[in-house]
Amino acid sequence: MRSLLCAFGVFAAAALAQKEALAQKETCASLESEVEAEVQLAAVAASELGAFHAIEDQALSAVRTCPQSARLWYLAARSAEVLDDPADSQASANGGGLRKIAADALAHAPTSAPVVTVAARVQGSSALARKAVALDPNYQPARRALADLLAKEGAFDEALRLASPKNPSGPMHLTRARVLLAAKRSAEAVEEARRISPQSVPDELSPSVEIYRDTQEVLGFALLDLNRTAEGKKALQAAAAAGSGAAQRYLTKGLR
Amino acid sequence: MRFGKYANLSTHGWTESTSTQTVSIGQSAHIGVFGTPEGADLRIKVADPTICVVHEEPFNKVYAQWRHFLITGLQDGQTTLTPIADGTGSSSFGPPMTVKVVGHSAVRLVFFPGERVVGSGKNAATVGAIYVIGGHGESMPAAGGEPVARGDRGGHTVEPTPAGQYVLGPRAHVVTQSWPKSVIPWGAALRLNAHDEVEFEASPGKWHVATGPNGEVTRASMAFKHRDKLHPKLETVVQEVRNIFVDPVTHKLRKTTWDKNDFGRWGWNLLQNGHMTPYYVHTTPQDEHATDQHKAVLLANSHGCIHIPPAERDRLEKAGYLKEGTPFEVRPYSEKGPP
Repeated sequence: MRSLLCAFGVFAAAALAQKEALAQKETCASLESEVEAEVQLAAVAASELGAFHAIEDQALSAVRTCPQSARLWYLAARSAEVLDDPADSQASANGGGLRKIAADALAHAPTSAPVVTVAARVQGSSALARKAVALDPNYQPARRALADLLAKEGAFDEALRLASPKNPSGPMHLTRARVLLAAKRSAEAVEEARRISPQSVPDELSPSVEIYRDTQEVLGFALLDLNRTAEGKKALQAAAAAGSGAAQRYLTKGLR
Repeated sequence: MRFGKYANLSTHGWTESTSTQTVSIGQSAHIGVFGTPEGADLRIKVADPTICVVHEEPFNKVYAQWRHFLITGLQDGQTTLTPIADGTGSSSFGPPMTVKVVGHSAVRLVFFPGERVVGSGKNAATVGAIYVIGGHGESMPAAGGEPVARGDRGGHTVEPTPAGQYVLGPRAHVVTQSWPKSVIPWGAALRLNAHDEVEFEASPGKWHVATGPNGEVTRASMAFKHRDKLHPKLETVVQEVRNIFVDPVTHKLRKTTWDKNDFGRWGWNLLQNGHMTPYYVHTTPQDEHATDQHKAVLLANSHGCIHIPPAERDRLEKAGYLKEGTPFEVRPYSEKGPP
């Protein structure tokens, strides 16, 4: 009799655990769809940054319930990255700041190429960017992140191979222009930046202003290098108005 | 050194013999100061700044001996203006003039969009203030369009708020087909109809379909993407729009009232010559939610409209300044207030 009761107890506990797991799965699917709804709204929102704040708030709240969701971790880390500004401590104070969010995302989703890519950019780690490319060689943001980081290390040839002109997307032209600028090939950087169409579509979750802002920034500094000062300053003024910290610093303090 | 009129400055309300300028509440009068000592840094001291304010206008090279100032009447009364050397605070350069402010309080609002830059990098915003003229010295922070024009998604442009004279239109829940989130008025009720499509209450008792192939939000979203030269499949957009409103797991509405309209709770159109313009004074959904949660409001630049904090909107509306018919002036980004 006792063994029968014990078997029933085990069975009941297993059933309860299964029911809880199913409920958890449904809750997470529901939470993921809610954050995805914010992502869809951001694409058509008048205030894009406002929409990214909503994505960050909801994703950070959702990962507490669903820490196994790589997509939620990506949305939390990426929205924090979009909103972060190194000079503004308020920008991503939510959830402990960008570096902590990116580190948490990496710890929970180490095999997600999008998560590893964000972590690579936040930590400035080309090793992590290489890992992201290895995880998904077709994930273009990982290739671009690796190219940018290699350019910072002076490995321009490898960076240019990664930011291949065979892949003519707006974001890839921008990465290539940045690498060329870093390699002091300013005339080619200008040429590359001018290939970027105003209708370029981002290849990852990004505010639409990002490509425009970064293009104007690269263009401005490349033109300054070519002593085309008036054109360069005009591009930097456009970049600064669209939120480029580098352009703002140059225009207000002459720092580069 | 003396006060006076030169070139085409209006002599309306000016009495030369007593150096007295009469001006109505909320109105302005131009005045010149002749013969400033070379190299002197001149400012005009107002004995009673609650009666009027003064600010300097651009210098005219043709009249090199003259400095140009604008007097704006704030409330009924009389005061004096004295030209003094800035920095000393006391050295008078010449005899004072008198300003008489007369008439009834005729409130107008003056917006200076380019007073300062707050924040940095991506979070930088060019902000200014809306000053109440003819009130009790009130003002509120506000952000106009970005200072440099550029294109944006959905066929929209980002541009500086154009300087000029406007009049506030009626308070309204702003709706527009050009921004998909703003097809539905702020606070509108939502429901699922018998065909399992989402409807919103556009006006009391009038329900419009939002989702599905012919839903208004679906159509606005398709049009938005077409203007970006994107051509997604209708079923994809239908699914995306449905996901905004309906939880696919529970099949229930996520919310029963709409609080994502891009123009916030209320907006006032800036009318020009009696006609509507594309510009509104309004809040943003993010600032509405931050205010509801007692969080800080961080004003961001707009596409050309004027963003105001929800709490300030409520304060100025309660005081009777933010209302239909109030004259509203937008000054150039290069100027700083108060007027």
